[in-house]
Amino acid sequence: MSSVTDSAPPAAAIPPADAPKRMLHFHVLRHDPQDPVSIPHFEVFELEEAPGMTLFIALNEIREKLDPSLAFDFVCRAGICGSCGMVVNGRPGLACRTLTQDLPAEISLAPLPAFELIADLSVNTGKWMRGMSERLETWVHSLGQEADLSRLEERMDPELADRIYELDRCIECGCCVAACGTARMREDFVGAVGLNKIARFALDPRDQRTDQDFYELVGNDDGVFGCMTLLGCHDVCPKQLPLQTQIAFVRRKMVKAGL
Amino acid sequence: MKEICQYFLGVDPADQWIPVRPAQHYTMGGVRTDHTGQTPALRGLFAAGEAACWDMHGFNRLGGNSVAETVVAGMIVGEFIADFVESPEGEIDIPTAVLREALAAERGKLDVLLEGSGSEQADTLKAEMQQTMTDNVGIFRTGADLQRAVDKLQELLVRSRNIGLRSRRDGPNPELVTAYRVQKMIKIALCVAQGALTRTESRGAHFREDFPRRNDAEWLRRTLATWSDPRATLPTLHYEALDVGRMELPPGWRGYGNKDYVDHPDTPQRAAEVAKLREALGDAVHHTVQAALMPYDHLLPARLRGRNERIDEKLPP
Repeated sequence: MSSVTDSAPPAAAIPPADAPKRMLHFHVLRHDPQDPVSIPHFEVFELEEAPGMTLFIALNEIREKLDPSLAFDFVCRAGICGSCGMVVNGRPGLACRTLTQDLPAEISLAPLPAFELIADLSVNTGKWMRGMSERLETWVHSLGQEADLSRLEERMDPELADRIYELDRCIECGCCVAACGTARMREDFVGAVGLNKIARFALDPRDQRTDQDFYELVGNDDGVFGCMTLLGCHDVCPKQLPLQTQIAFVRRKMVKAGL
Repeated sequence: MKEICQYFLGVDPADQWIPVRPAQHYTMGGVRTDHTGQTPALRGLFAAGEAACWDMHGFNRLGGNSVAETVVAGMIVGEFIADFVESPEGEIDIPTAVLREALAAERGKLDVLLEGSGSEQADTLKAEMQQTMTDNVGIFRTGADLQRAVDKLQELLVRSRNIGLRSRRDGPNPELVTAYRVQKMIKIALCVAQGALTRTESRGAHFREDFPRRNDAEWLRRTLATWSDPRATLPTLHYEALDVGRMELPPGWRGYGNKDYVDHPDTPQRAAEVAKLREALGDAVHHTVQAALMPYDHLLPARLRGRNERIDEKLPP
């Protein structure tokens, strides 16, 4: 039925009458790279847990009641926009989709590594994603023919459309890049997000690029051959994308294309 | 639905109640534009999608409106913007001094917030605005509630001119962002509340318990709000009448609910004209019928004027 984007914002759950209240301690990594005297440090905020509390709710409460200068990003608070990725108790994830009830009372929050830090928990994933998209040309290449908008689109097998859609669910949150060993060592590594996109456009019959064309984009150590198969990306992907399978698929294709 | 409950609420809908409440979710109305997406108020300013008042959905919001707006306006308005930029009209020459002044004025507003000695907190004002709108400008509206909202919002607007920040750092400062935005948010809230208070009828998503009937005779017109005096605490409302005589489907009974509404005086005549035209055209193809009832081809960008292929209407190869 209706998709998540089309649903109303989540409301607070109705608390059971005898709900026990926990005091939560948020250890938040604070730093302003633009401020020459700023030194990265953890700051602790105490908050009473509420039923159905997510990190999105908690961080907003901290900002409204305790520290208006706390920087973090949210837009959709529904796991669609991908802007609230952060490291929660050592693991990259989406803050809006993390319930405090699933965490211990001591919660550490840090910005995603591998991205440019804006301040505190806010990182510039957009700049990174744009750079990756431009390098990998993550759009349908129809090779010179402009689409005729007045005609019906070519039909696509529903099963293939489903397979493309499955990979298109990526929200570019950056969790896979933050969890990636190679990305930490190689600045230009395209990450699972980039390889997933290559897999997506390789599947799409409207994209006329050949395996050889894709090889030019990812057939090197900044592409699919840089992956060490640690699969942190697969473990942390908040959308449960089949990243392990896609990387293997692209690697096999690229080995063949490179021979 | 099950996943939304689990991920975002920690509720298992198999054995717990799903909390349901109304919430502001989509903005019906926006920057007034002509059919090209350009606003008559400022040449070269285009608006498309949810930001625009482009009339694709009239006065109501249904599931998927934002997607349809984005896709259709993206195609049509996008084309018009490209045409405009290429045309001589698109050569907009603005003296550097004007730009410098505008920039200095905006910078000045930020400086007042950052360095001023205001005593109001931006977050508090925002929360009060939200509560006021939730309490008084919701799904079921009355004149008394709306008046209460307008009074309270005016008070908040005055207070928002005296915001002081607790964190005064330049650069990424979320409190500064809230402060800068909340002044504008309150103005938008006032446009909504004052527009709803003045509109003494029910239409689309605007339901007045004290005026439950739709009244085309008096209210088949669009509310346009402007704010020419920055010190004012209320928007100026103008009304733009809709021309029933040019409609393909003059507003009538919707086919559900009671037939309880007031017709526009031009509606019966236009409805008769439409019926007569339809009868005269008989089995003519729908393009002919459309051209007779409400031609629109000439309003489209040239590239999009041709016929579209449909499953049962193939185009010649």
